[in-house]
Amino acid sequence: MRILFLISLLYPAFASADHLPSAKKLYTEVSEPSDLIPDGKGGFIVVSDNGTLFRTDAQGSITQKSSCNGQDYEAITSDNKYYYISDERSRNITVVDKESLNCLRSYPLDIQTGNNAGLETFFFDPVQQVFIGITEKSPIVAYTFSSDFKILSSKEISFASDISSGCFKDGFYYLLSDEDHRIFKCKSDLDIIASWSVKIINPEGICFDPSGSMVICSDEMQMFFYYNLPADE
Amino acid sequence: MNKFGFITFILFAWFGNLQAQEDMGNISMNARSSFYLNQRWGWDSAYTDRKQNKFLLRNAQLQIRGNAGKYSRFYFGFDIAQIISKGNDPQNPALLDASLQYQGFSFADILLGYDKVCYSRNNQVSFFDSPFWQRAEISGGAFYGRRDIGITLHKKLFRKKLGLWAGVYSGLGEAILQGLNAPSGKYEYVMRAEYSWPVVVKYRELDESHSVIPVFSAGINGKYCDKSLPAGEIFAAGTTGEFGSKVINGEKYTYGADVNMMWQGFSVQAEIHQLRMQLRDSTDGLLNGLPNIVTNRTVFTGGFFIQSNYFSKKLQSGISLRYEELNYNDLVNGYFARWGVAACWKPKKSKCMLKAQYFYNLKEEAVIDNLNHREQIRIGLQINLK
Repeated sequence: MRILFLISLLYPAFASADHLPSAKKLYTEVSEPSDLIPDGKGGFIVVSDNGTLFRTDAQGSITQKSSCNGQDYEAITSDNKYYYISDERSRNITVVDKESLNCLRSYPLDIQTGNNAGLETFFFDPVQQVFIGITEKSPIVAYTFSSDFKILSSKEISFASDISSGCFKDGFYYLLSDEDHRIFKCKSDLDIIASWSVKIINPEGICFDPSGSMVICSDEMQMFFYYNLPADE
Repeated sequence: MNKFGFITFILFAWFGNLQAQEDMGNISMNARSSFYLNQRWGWDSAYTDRKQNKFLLRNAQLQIRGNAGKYSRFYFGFDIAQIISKGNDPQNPALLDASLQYQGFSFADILLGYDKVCYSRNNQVSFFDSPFWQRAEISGGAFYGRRDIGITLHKKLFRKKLGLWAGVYSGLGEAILQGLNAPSGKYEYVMRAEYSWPVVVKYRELDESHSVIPVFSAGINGKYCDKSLPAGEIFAAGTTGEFGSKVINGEKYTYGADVNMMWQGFSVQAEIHQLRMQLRDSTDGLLNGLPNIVTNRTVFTGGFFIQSNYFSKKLQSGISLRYEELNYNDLVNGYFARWGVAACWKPKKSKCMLKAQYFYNLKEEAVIDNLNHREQIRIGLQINLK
């Protein structure tokens, strides 16, 4: 224990230079939040591991619960018309109405993975008009899907231990790794431009709010963390 | 089937049928296996049996898990290696679980069937997540059942940081699989409370994901059963355990505490347990022939272990150091102390883990369990296709 104590005293000296400090953090009422996206009204749409979908206010309080009933919602994204949810366990994409949060239809994905090994990450690239879906680990595979969810291409990722979430912002992909506690900023071909470490246990979802702050949700901590990226990045 | 088993079966069937009506089911299978080479040194000169120097297939497990509806999960697992060898070692049982968990009630989750008993943190840690090949003696299942058939309620409070468990079981532990019951017909009652900070801590020994914030958990637990034999009755063979203290003719109180800490790849676990056995018969073998005035028909067994670990993500390797002590019976000599070191290597993108452990017996008052050796090394491979 004495050694551990000494290490804890020395730790700040070895802290990573690319560490990104959080600007703000808050609890959310959503249990086991696994991904989030701004709802355009100042709050968030949040999916949960329990297969449930919520709208929250900016403080993380639940303001609306969807009647959607999935098994293991792991990612949410949107285009101009709908929200799209990835259910990792059942390996399908559910289309959701933006106002009512009602589930409209589901699409099974043609990916050959094991049970509970579907898409952990799913986001829309408005420039290329494609969806990007990524499996969590063993192996990490990034798929490009057409607007009707047909696979256009795939690529294995080896720069991270796992990928737990991702989002699109200003032409770049931001990928989150739970096990590495790290955010990767990538070009659309998944070449890394920059990366930052974050001090969060079990970071599961990432998005940018309307003010440009990066927001990460932690499943086990049940919290939202806000970050301001360096200006030159 | 005894009364307890019948009630559990009815509840199990009811929940299973309820959820089978929904179309949200899915099922997953996992195969796991492990085998090792065991070698011992420093044998007692009078002891000539060397059969423990051996290769052994420890596990060949198949686990089937799935959802039956939104709120029900079922667990079924067995070990083919143990079935073939007809073994019922509590550390390595033939039947791993046959249970159904229902999470649809707000007051608590319910677990029905045969599964791990809600006693001791170490009991919840999978062998496949440990760098060691063997658990500490006190928590290995020789003194209390690691698995049993029964009903467990589980409630999470304060954003899951506080976990409360309460269960009622047959009290026979793994021996219940023989289809027998103790003549008293009484049950065992178990409770556990565990607080984690700042988040709920998974049941692991190694901090493989390198927690960026220190995480901590502490738990207390207790068990009680009264298996006093009615006049003329005896326990069925195999129910009382290796040292005769797993099921006793009398009242048995078991209580313990555990702590766990993880940070930046470092982790520490410690547990302490004590059994207080109030025996009914003054001639009970556990009293070792000592008079009533000395024993008051009460026997204590107790022990602890402390284990520290480090896992390197870069090397995908872990190392663990464990120290343990055990007093088999406070009435006679039977004290035991042991150091253990374990190392493991998990090649990236592999489903395998190479594990090696070394034990050095520091002290052994060889009255109850003569180990007949001083050093042991065990090295082998485990495969987990999950």
